[in-house]
Amino acid sequence: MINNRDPRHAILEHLPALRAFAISLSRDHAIADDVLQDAIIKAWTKFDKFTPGTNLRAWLFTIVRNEYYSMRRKNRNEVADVDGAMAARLSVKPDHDGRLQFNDFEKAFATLPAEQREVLILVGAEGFSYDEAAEMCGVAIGTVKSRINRGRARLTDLLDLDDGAPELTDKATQAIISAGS
Amino acid sequence: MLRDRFSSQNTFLVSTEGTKGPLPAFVYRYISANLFTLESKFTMSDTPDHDKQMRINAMIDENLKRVYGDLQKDSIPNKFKDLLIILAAQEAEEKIGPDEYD
Repeated sequence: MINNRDPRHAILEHLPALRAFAISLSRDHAIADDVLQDAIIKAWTKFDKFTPGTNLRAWLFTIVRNEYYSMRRKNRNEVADVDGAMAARLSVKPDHDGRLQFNDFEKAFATLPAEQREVLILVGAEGFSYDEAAEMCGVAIGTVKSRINRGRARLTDLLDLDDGAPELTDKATQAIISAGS
Repeated sequence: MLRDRFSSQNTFLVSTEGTKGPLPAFVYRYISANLFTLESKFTMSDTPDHDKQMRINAMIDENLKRVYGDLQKDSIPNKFKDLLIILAAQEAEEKIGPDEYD
């Protein structure tokens, strides 16, 4: 059994997000599970490297990220990003509340390079700051912003959002817009 | 619009209104020194496409959160929880040491 007083017990509660991140990076459940398994072992055995009081979630995400790129370098299993055929099939407009067809968004997102996917997930979905994402990815803040901008621009292009973007009416989205203005 | 805002926020430039010929050197120095700030202040937020881009970005983020949230709802395979238990057990075993079993 895991001792509840062991701080490593907290790894358990982050597993769903770590696995989602690994899947988002690899676009393959089997590879993601391999990455996660290696990341768990590394996090467990190298926990003395973690500084108490700092962000455990960010530390774990960094390990997952590094394990993914390490595995990718070893296996060279990343399929080249496709632009043409898949993108050509993405033509469904968002509905009235801005919700894109799930599959279309997923397909478009999957065509982005891993470097853009990771920062979009870290900042856009996970809510890490640019600063945190930069540290996790080992790049400058400007690089993170640039990757996010390129990723969003690519998604905008693939999903044809630039032409007739709908007015968003839901409160959550409006709050985001207001906060960013 | 840019000129209006620039003039209203930087009163010393008002004196250049209506003048002919090149602007005074200090104006160029000011612009040069604050180019990045001016670009972000006047180019980004003053363009008519800015609100639209914000809406698009918000839409992308919302859909990203939805897709990512759905991924997190997947049940975690037991092998990962088992792995943590095995790692803890292995470590406990190493701390006890083989002699303890004798």
